[in-house]
Amino acid sequence: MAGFEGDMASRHRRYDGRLRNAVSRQDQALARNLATPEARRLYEMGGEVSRSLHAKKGFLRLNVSPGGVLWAKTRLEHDVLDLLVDHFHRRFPGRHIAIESGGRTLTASPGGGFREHRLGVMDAVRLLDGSAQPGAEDSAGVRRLWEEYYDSQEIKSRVNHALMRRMMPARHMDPDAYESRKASGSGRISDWL
Amino acid sequence: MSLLEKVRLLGGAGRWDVCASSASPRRAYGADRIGDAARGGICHSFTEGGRCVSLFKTLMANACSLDCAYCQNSVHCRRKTAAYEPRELADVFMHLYLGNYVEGLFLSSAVAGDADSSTERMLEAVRILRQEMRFQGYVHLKVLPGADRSLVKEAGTYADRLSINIEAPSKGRLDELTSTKDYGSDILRRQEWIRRLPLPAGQTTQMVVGAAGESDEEVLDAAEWEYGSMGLRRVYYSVFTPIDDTPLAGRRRVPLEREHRLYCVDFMMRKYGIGLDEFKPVMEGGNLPAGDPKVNLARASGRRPTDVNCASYEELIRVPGVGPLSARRIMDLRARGQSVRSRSQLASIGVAVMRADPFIKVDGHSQASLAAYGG
Repeated sequence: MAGFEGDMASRHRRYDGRLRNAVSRQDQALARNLATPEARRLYEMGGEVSRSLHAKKGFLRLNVSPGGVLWAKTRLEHDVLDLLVDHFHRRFPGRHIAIESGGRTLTASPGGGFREHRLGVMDAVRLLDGSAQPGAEDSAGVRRLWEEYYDSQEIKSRVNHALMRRMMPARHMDPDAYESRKASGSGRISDWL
Repeated sequence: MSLLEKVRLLGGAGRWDVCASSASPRRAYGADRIGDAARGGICHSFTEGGRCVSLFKTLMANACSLDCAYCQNSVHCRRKTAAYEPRELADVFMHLYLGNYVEGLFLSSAVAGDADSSTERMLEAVRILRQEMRFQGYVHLKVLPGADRSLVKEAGTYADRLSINIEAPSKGRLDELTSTKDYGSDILRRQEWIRRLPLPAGQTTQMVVGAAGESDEEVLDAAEWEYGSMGLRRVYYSVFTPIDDTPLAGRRRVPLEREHRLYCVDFMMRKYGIGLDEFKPVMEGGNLPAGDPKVNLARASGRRPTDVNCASYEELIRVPGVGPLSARRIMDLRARGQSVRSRSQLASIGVAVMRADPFIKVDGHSQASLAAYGG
């Protein structure tokens, strides 16, 4: 996707080009093997961005408009909206995709056209959908299917809410997500021991 | 029965298959397709036990004619039964996939009558997904014990991965658990058929650990054989949990720590190239002792602290806290004329220094801790 390439650390919300400059001036044998604090920090920043993108690819739930547009509104920690939209465009090449984060909405259309809008995602979906009330086709029904399925996967002898919260940090999850409620619902002291 | 109840019943019946991998190198083509497979796999949620939920993992039907003593679906158990129609399953799955709730499909079935008719229903669901709905995402299909070779071959044309569970490390152990599955003809023979298929994500298997009294040594010997002779990508281990109404309901649950130790050793066999024979001298009665297997191995070796600036790669990766990536960075540093000067530098490279400390020497200094003396 031309124009959307770049290494991951530069997308970090706290990225500072001076860090990269400092690393580029270091002995490259040390830098490439992370044997300096600056190289380690740059590497970690790239890792944080990659992990947050990866988490969103898994945890972001899509709605389906009556016209078949796949859309979502989310909050991203780092500058990865283009990569996220690209991921779903590759996955669903025949569909319009629209994702909003931080006041920006990025859309992808069948055939590969990407466009940034200064609109909310609902307005963008209305444009793509051609319908007055885009909404979400049976999102509640699909969510209910998911909750039944998710509950069915529990094995009581393996419950470990502390591990669950570590694997699924709240900042990556939709606060309305069913799993978020499950993860936060346990106040058992045994989780912390 | 409502669809929601079916989803819960058949999803719950399939939850004991622990494989959650959704990674496949297969590329998807076509502008009119739905889905693709991620090379690295993607988790879409985690259970309350911390297990990744990436796939819609379900049985096609849960009424089984087999008598596996550990299984909630076996012919022994009183339970509500349900079955999907192939199109019904495909529809449920596609709704979840479009909503980005799951990464792919993991489909198995109880053997309702005979393996071939159960397999045909599974294949019909996947055929609808692949051909009608043009789904090109990840599919993992279970091969049922006794299924005909032609059906196994057909399954291989739809799936990224196939698997059949060996459940036990040997025929003798499996015979203690079931009278309706033959280790050789029903299971190993099918593994051999699967091995010959060009599957993007290969073949895996699973063992129930502790249901028939097998030792860790037996389990790991079987795993080593599966990796070497059957070319498996992964062996999964699931500790025995007693289930109501099964013949083994009164048995004690096997601790989760045993499963964790087996996975540790399995990982070191596959990724570190540490042979199983190195672990056998530290086993007690054929079982891995309590604690981290790598730490136990390091302690038992009696080696002097490893000098990180002189050790070989093989010596480095045997140090607790040092993995293949950190070991390669240390070797690369040295190859480029540098050396590791401090523990903080080791930490920067990626070594878990607190774990490694009792076993290493940096710049001529070693720092033993109570742990080094078995404390």
